[in-house]
Formats: sequence, C-alpha cells, structure tokens
Amino acid sequence: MTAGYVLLFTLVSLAVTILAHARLRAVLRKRTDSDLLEDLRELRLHYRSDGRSALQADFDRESASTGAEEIFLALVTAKGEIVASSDAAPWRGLTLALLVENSGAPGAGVFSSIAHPLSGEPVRSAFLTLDDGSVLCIFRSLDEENEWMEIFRGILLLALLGMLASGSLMGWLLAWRAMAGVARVTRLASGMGRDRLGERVAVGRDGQEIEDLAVAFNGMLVRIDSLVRNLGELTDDFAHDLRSPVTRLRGAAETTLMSDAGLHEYRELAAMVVEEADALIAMLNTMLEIAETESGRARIEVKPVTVSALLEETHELYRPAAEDSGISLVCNPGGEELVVRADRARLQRVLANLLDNAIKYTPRGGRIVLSAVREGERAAIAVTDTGAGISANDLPHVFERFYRADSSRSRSGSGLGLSLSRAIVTALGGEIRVSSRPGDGSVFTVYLHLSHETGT
Amino acid sequence: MEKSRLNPAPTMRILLVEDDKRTAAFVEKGLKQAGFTVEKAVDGEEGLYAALSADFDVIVADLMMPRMDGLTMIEEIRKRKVMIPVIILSARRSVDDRVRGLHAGGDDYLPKPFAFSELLARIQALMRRATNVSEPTKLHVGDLRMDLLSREVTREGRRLELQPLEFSLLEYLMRNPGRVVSKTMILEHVWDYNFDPATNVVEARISRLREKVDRPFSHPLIHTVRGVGYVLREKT
Repeated sequence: MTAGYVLLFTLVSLAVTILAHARLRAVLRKRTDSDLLEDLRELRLHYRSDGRSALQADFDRESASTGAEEIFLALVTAKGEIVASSDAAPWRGLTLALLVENSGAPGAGVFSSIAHPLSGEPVRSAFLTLDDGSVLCIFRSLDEENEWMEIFRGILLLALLGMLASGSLMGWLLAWRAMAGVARVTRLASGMGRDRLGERVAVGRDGQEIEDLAVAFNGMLVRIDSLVRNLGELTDDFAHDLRSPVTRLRGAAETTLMSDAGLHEYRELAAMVVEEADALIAMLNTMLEIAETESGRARIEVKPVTVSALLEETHELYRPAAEDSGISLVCNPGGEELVVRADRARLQRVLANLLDNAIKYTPRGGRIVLSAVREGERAAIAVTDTGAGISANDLPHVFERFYRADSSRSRSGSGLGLSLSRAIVTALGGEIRVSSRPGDGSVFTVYLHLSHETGT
Repeated sequence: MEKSRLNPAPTMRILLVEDDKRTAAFVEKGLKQAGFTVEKAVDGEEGLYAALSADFDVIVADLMMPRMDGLTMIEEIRKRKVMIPVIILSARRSVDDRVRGLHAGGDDYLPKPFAFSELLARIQALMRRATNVSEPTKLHVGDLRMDLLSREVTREGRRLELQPLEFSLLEYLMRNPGRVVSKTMILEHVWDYNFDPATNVVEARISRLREKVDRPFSHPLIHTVRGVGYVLREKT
C-alpha cells in the first residue's frame, strides 16, 4: 500500500514540476520578447527622429556591448535589401529575405525562433515593420534565457527530489503508525473469544484516527460484553420462568393420574392445563415481542393518535375490573386535544400494562388516575396510583426483563410487561419514567412527541 | 360443543392437512365433535391429491410439512382453479408469513398455538363467506332479542339498558350462538386488542353483562366454560 502511495506521490510531484517548468519557460520567453520589442520601438523612434546614420550608430553600439555573436540588428527594405545592419560576419547565412516576408503589418511585432546559421544555437528574432514598409529586425541569441532556464531546472530538480524524499518518508511513517495501531486492534479482535471479552485495546498516541478506532472498538467490545452477559442472565431467568408453570402442570397432572380422581378432577386439571399453557404462550410471545421491538425488527406503524380517545377507551375497558377490586379509576384527558405519533395497538399495550400493574399493587379503596398533559413538544401520559409504591433499591431496575422486586416475587405475572413497555416507547422515539415512594404510590409517565395532524 | 346447533345443514367436509400426529388428532377430534366430517392428509402431496379428487368445504392446512410444504400445496391447488376456502395454521406468526400465506391463495391465517374455539369460528366465517349469507339485522338467542339497527335489546319482552361496550360484547356473543368464544377472541373482536391484559377485564365485563341479561330473568343464557371461554346459549 505504501508503494502505491509513493508512486502516486512521485507522479503528482513530477506533474507539478513539469508544469512549473513550462510556466517558467513561458514567462522567460515573454520577457525576452517584450525586451526585444521594447528595443525595436526605441530604435524606430531614434530612426524617425535622427535618421539612418543614428540608427546605424545604435546598431553598432548594441552589437559592441552585447557581443556581435549574440546579437544582430538590421533594417531591411520590403524587397529584402539590407539598408543598415550591425556586424553581419558572425551571422552569415541568415536568409533575411525569406524571414522578412512574414513580418506582419506596420507597428506589429512578429517573433519567431530560429537556429543560428553557423552555430545552430537557438536564436529569437523580432521584426517591426515601419510605416514605409521596411522592417527593423533583431536577432538575439537565447543564451541568457537558457542560462536562466538551467538555473531554474536545477532548483526544480532539487525541489522535486526534496519533495519526493520527505513525502515518501512522511507517508511511510504515517502508514507505519497507522498500520501498527490497526494491527494492534486486529490482533486483539482475532484473538478474542467469548471468554476474553473483558480485554480492551491499548489506546496510545498513534494519532487521532487510530485512537478513535481503538476507542470505538473498545466501546463495541463493552456492548458485546454486556449483551452476552445479559443474554446469559436472560436465559437463566427465562428458563426459571418457564420451569415454574411446567412444574405446576406436571405436578397437577401426575397427582391427578395417581389419585382416584373422578371426572370432575380431570375437568379441573384440563382447565388448569389450558390456563397455564395460555400464560406460558403469552410469556413466550411477550419475550419475542421485546426482542423484536428492541432490535428494530418489529413492524411499527406510526400514525397520529388522539390521546384522549385512547385514554377514555382504556378507562372504559378497565372500569368494571377496577370497581371489582374496590379501586376508583379516574380519567383525566386534559383540556387540550393532544395528538401523538405512535403505533396505536402498541400504545394500547403500554397503557394496559401500566394499568395492570397499578391495579395489581393498589389495595382496596385506592385510586388510579389516567391523565395526559402537554409538556413542551411532548405529551406526558401518566398512570398514577395510590398503591404500595416501589422502593428506592428497586426503582432503577423496574424496566428490566424479568425483574421482580422481592415484594412482588410471589405474585402472578411474568415481570416482562414493563420491559416490553419500555421497548415500545423507546421504539416510538419516546421516554418512559417512573417516580415512586414506598407507601406513597407510583407515577409512571410516558412521553411521546406531539403530532400536528389530526389523529384517530 | 354441540352438534345440532352448528350444522343444521348436511355435514360439512373438512380436509385437515397436518404432519404432526398429535395436533392432527386433537383438531380432528374437536372438528368431529363440532359436527364436521374430517379427512386427514399427512403432507402437502397427500393434501393436494385429496383436494383435487374429492369435494371439501374447507381445507385446514399446516405450512411446514415434508414432501410438499403448505404454501406450495395451496399454490398448486389454486393453479388448478380449485377455490375451496383454505385456512392456514402455522407456528410462523410474523406479518410477512401471513402475507405470503394469503398471497399463495390462503383465505385466512391462524397462528399456532391457537384457541380451538377460534379455529371453529373462523371455519364458520369462511363457510359463511363462501355461501354468501347476507348480514342479519336482528339477532336472537332464546328469548333474548337484539335489533342491530335500532340498537334495542329485549329479553322476555323487557327492554335492557346496555352501555356501549356491553352492547358490543353481547352482540359478539349473539353472533356466535352456542359457540364458545375465548377471552382472546373477545378482546380481539370486541375491543380490538391483540393481547390479553393481566387484569380480568373480560371477566369483569361479562359479570356486568350477566347482571343485566341473566340475573333479572328466569334462567341464565351466558355460561362460563372453564379453561375455554364463554358461551351464549339456552341450557338444554
């Protein structure tokens, strides 16, 4: 992987260097050309004001100072006859006539590159056509320009090598550190078995990304660890809760068979079998529902639901049963028409569960209130009872699967209801909370987001 | 469950396709007791053959069977344009499974484990659908009469004052005269609840209903069948 990076980096650096080189060359060329044009313009001025002899003097001076091999200046007629020029000896063989043909309109500068007739070195030429059709020419060797290019090339090459070296080194270093960190995580992950879930990746100073990876990985390990442990506990609890009714069934059936039972006893036994079987099935289904709801596999239909209608329905359904238990059941749907986004059937289930618990734990003469109020952007649906209350020890655990406070251990019920309620409310994007004090009763509140549509 | 109440007409024939012997035994027993003639098949292939070679009123089919599974069997039956109503019994209870079952050509889907009374009620419903019985506007059981249009209920000529939920419950019982309906069936059909709350809401409501329908009169019509449910009938 590192090799690939190095190759890529080299290619990119090369491309950048080549571009820089081309640009430099273009700039230098432009410079050269504008210098030449400038010179030509000055010469023209001089020629216009002071005539041919002055021009010739300029030519000679220029040739002398720059060097006759380096520069050649000339004034040529439209037909190609040389009217004036600097020292032409080093420039023998220059076919001016041909060159002058392409000299362009008066006033315009025309440039081209040719090879020196004797040395073959590159030469840049500039022509300026005068008003009378004659052409001022400069031929200058590109030695100077080339010298500069050489220097630039040297610098660029050094820079390139420097970039390549440091880039590769840094890249390699980065990769090595990254790989080392990743290698550590990989080693831990591959060596991880069910019994080693307690281990964690050492978080070092390998750089932010690797640290993040290690932290995320450890977080995942923590979750898996707790899941596995939960699963273990779950199956223990579940097994226990399965065994109890099955034990009862078996015991009752066996004793009936062994005794001299009459039709009536057998009828009783059969009825008991149906009841216990139903309870078991209900527990199984609830467990499945909890698992499905928590894992997101349940198909939850979220629609607008009118809270008051739901509360009144539930109230009406439970009223006779509450009365039979000597409990007063009151419904307080609140003044405002609250509509929440929820799965109606599942919300029914949650309310029923809360009411079931309230009725179970409230003694005769007690009171249960179903209410709903708006709290900001949420509806707070509460079931308040004047029952036995929940101790501070038990309070944080009430929503756990199979959790049963010691005081309720002997009572009927699977201990799954609240856990399913929580799973449902969470899946609906809401919250369920409890506040309670022993002897003072409890309040279970379900918070759900309000909807602005009309509900059912 | 009594014979005569349920089947005044010639005996209906049911094809039961189920590979588990014990399940098949109790379903067959219950259906026979209800007055049906029952024929059994132990897998999809036998079931397909039976469905095509003889005349049945309803097919009760399991899904997970050897040789040919329930869904395939139903598809094959429908392919041959045999439109006998099929009720599927399956331990698979997800929405997807139901949809697949109905899509394959099933008419109803009852997840296992099921209350036998529920199976019976659904078979009746399928057969009613098949014979296009029109909706009654008046129901009666013994001297108890209910007018569905005027929402009036009388017994022995006396008017009964029922609350809405009591009315719905009584209506459900009267639509299933002589048939035992389980608590779960009542919760589902009368109150649209797909679960059984721990509190005895049904029992309490039945007791309220009894106060009005049975107590003031000479004899009770609403009976409890322990372990199964409730039934509305004249005790013979």
